[in-house]
Amino acid sequence: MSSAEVRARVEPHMVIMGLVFASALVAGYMLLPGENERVAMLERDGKNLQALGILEARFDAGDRRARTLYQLVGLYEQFGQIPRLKTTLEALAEARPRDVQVRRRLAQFYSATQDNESYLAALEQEIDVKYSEAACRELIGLHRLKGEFAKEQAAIVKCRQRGYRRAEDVVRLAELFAADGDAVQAAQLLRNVDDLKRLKSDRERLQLFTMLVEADQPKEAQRRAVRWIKVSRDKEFTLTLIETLVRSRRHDDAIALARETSQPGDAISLTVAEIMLDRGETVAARAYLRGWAVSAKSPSLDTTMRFNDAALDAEDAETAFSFSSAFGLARLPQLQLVALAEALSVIGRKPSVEAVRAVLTTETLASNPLLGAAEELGRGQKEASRELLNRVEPEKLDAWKLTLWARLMQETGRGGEAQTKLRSLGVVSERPADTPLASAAVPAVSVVASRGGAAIAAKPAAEQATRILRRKKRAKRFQVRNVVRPPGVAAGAVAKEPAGKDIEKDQKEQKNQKIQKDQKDQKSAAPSFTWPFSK
Amino acid sequence: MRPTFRNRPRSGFEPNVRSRSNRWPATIGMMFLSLWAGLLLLLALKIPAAQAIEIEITERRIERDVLALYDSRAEKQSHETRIHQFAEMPLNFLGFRVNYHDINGSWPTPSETTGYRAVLTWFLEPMEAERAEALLNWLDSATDRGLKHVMLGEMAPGASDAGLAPLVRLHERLGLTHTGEYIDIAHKARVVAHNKSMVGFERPLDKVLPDYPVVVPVAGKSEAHLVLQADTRDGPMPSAVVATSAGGGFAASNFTIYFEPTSDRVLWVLNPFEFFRRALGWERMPVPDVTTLSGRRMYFSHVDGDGWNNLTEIEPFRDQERLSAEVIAEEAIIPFQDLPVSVAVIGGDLDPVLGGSRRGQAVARLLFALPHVEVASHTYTHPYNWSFFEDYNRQTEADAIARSLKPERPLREQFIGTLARLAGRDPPRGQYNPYIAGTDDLPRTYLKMPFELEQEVKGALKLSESFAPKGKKAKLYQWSGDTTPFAGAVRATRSAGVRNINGGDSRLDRAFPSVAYVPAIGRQAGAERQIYAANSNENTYTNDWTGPYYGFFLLEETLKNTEMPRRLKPFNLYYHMYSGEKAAALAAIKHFLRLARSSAVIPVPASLYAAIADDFYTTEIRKVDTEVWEVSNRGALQTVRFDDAGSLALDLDNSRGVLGATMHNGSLYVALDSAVDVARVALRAENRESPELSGRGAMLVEARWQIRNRREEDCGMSVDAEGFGRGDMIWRTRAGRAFEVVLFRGARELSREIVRAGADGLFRLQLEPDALDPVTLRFTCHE
Repeated sequence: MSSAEVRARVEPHMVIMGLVFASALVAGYMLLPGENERVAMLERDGKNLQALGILEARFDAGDRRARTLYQLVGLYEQFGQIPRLKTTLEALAEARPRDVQVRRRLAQFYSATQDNESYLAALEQEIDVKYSEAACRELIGLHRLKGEFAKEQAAIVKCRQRGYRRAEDVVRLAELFAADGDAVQAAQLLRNVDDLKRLKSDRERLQLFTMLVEADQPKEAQRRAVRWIKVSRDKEFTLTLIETLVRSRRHDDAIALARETSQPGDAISLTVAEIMLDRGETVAARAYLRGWAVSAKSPSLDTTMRFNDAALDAEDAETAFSFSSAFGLARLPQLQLVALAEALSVIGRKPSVEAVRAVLTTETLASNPLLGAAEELGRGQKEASRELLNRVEPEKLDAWKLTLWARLMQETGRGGEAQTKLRSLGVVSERPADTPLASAAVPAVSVVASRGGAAIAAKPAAEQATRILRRKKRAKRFQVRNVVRPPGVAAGAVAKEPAGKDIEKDQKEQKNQKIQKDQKDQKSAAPSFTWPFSK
Repeated sequence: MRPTFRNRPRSGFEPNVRSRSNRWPATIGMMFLSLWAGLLLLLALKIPAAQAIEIEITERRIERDVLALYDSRAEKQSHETRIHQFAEMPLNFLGFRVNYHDINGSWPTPSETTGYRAVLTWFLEPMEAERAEALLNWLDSATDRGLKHVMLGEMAPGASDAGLAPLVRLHERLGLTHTGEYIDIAHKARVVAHNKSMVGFERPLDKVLPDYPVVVPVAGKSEAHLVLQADTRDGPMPSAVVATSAGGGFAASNFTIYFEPTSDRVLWVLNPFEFFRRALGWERMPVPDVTTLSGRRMYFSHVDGDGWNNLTEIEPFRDQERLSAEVIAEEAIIPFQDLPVSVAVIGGDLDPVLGGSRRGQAVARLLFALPHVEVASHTYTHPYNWSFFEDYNRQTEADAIARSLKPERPLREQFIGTLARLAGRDPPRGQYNPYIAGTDDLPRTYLKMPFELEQEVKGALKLSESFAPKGKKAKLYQWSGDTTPFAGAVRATRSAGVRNINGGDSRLDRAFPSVAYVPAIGRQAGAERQIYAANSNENTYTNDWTGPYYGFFLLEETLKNTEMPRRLKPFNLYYHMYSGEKAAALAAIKHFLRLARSSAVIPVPASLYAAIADDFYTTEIRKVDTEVWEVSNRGALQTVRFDDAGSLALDLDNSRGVLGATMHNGSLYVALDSAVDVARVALRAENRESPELSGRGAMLVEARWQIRNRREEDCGMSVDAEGFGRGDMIWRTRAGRAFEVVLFRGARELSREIVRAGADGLFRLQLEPDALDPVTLRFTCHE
């Protein structure tokens, strides 16, 4: 058939139809899903095994495109094929070294599989690629948890250089510097945080205060202290700051701080007398205490006890007695009442002694032979008094008690023995032991420095402490920045350092935490891992 | 009581010096005393000081109880206390039982503290001054009566000076001097003495020394393990922040655990095992052990029924619309018949009245018919919050149901509903059922019926049994939700005659890198004990089932770390039925099943572990002679452990009711015979010639089956055995000795073989027949 015949036979519409058909074939072919689409469709339909087969074949054929690797990662995750997942993720990270998302995913994988070394390295790389506060925080926390202090310090420094400003970690860095003896650097870091008013916990503030005092900047320390105290009005914290100054032998600064932060007659202003006593200014302290007692309003038990201690130290038993009487003798602990009774016995204030005696328990009297001896002697029972005196160990007595002991020994006819003993203890008598003491308002003996030695060493260290320091009879705790709790621990059971400005505040915090916890509990049963929870 | 001469340092063993009866006339007694004195003198002259002997002529009960005082105003319930969460597990490991007492109630009377070894306190939060003083007075009087005092943290925070006198005395009894001083900022303090085996356990001592109290150790009265010294203007002030003494032990607040807030993790700084061991007055004693049976680490598995009816996503089951429970049955239970598993159904999942499915019932029937599947219950209505039901109020629950958010109805349902309304018909009921909780926002899953404890426990157990073959009883109740049941609920399981388990969420891996995350054996709930699971489940490993779902593979870390260096827990594979939904989760379970199959473990039902754990609390131990103890009232517990036993061996000839022993981690695990009520365990120095090896029988080293009822025979012995899978076992006898070993079930002989011990005296058996029903093994001398 010639071409003319063919042309004659082919109708135009047939050509058009043919073209349309061919186009449809091409278009149909073009619309067939490619391999990527096929994989996606298989995954959509839950045919993951088939999808994985295709992807693995492509991977084996050298396909390292990000899309392939991403899909493989997803499928390996689904099938729990951890070694292959790791290889693929690492290949992905290698293929895209600047991809922060991939780095993050790799880090998350290491975290999820507890590959800690790789996780730390991934975090460091992530920080190198692009600073991330979350990564820094994690890195620092992990080093800290493991107790890798040098690495922790290096990580904080590195992160700070990239803009990390988390106050907790800057404070920690300061503490690490302080532990290395670099008080200046520590103070500088803490000062920076405090300037931004982000130094919130008492402990951190105390740290800065101490660093500043150590760096010989007491005025700045005082300025900051006054700012803190005016906001917090925390008595315990104030006393601790004053005490810190006293410990550093900065009595004038301590008095200045006390004056700036106190009201007449309050617990803080009482420290002035204590500091005076600490400096040996007994007469001034006595005068101050008398003035303080006049302005004191509703003192607490703790403050009253401090006042009594100070008054007895200031050789002013009468003031201590009258203040205690106003407060209520029965409200005072027996130990202090004993001290008061002994001091009053020394100065011969019989009615006052009787008043104190009336609130002493039988057990207290039985366990204090010195006081018992004084009482027996008061009743004219010399022999009974003598017997009780035999039970007294003069080595363990303080100045007031030694004076009383010497007097009782004298009055029971053993003055010589007492003198010998006093001399052996290195005690000098300001008056002869046989001098009537009834009118004396002060202890008759004073302890010379050399007396220290064995006798004092046998006593609790608190008895050697300076007066202001003696205030603290129990562990005093400060609120820490994050009142966080270890997982699973009850709200109140704070972890690292216990909180503790005062009970009321703690209770309030606990209550708030409890309310928050209850609210949370109402929302969900708080399925935190660390406390038993299985669904 | 007779006089005792003990606690002398010793490195060897000497013949026992037994007591004499008091009924002898005084003169004869005096003569004997003189003779004894002479003999002792001779011995003393002959034996070097380093080999001093222990002479024990008193029979006495070993005191295993520790009284833990806690303040419910700071730590509301006993299980919320630090003592429970951190200290009780190490104490249990050392063999001690902990009983809790809230200081806000009445104080224990002297008679109530009789039999206690120590009182343990770990207070942190200030308490009212009066309460603190009362506490100090009580402690003063209790320790005056000889009770040891172990003090973690402060003795009585919040105490005023009124409590100073008892405070000072209490410190004195610990060999310490209380100063009242406190070092707030310790950057200038120095460590002047540091016992590294005691401090720096999981984390080194922090470079930034924390604040601490100044407590001065009294020379010769206490052993200071960490002494810090701060220079003050009064001179250097040393403080023993960790110390132990004959009176107990002390560790200051910041020297016990360390909490890292960023990672939210706790680590022990103090070595709790070493500290409690010393503080409680270390003595060699058989420790009731809940991890080991027949010389091997126990394996048990239990499955909570959650997700029973969920459709799986796993290929090829997904296309068949199979249930998760069906997948678990087919993939993880039926193919592993050598590994027992306790399967606990939730009543509501199977009870159509509450919304359960009949299809799910068929799976339960299939599973419970399998011989290695133990019937258990995971409650009826699946409480999430158990405390809610202690004082249950239906109205409160109804209010909560009304308040709960209803899910949005799918568009299709809305459209059909609209059409139905237009057609004047009732709209079809949607999928949403307000009485089935989708999440734990509500107190339990199945809310239709009011909560009844009887139904929740007995009803649930009965329902489980209804799917089991006739006569197969439910053995275990697996707690749901927050797994903190109230005392009444635990009691209900006891009265239903089943054991209970769950809670604790034990982990010890790199994400939870502390033994602080390994819980105690159980939890005190009133007068009852809840038994914790020995391992955590996949829910915690998968971030509350949000993924990644391969997370459960990490259980392997915990399994390793709770085996070495101390075997703290058995191998427990604990998961939920919803693991049948995800391929990765199922892969993890199968991995651990294969691991259990290939490991040297003894597979037991979960209820047996729970029974053993229960009996940890009942076991009584008496020391009857030098290195001889009697173990009684032990129920299902058949292993006692001796720590630091490198130089010791079991003296089988002088023991009774003992099958054998094996060494692991330097500890001697002694297998007891459950057929003997009061077992007598005797030890000897290992380097001596072993008397039992010259005897006729053999002693058990380890077995995959439970061995019991050892009977001596003419030349050899017989024992009964039962267990799962192949009977792999190792026995020890004289080197080169041969036995003919015949295995019987009843009168039917199952197998017979001749075995010969190697040069090490060991011979191995691999018995193929199953021992699901008890079998007898007869060893006859074969020369």
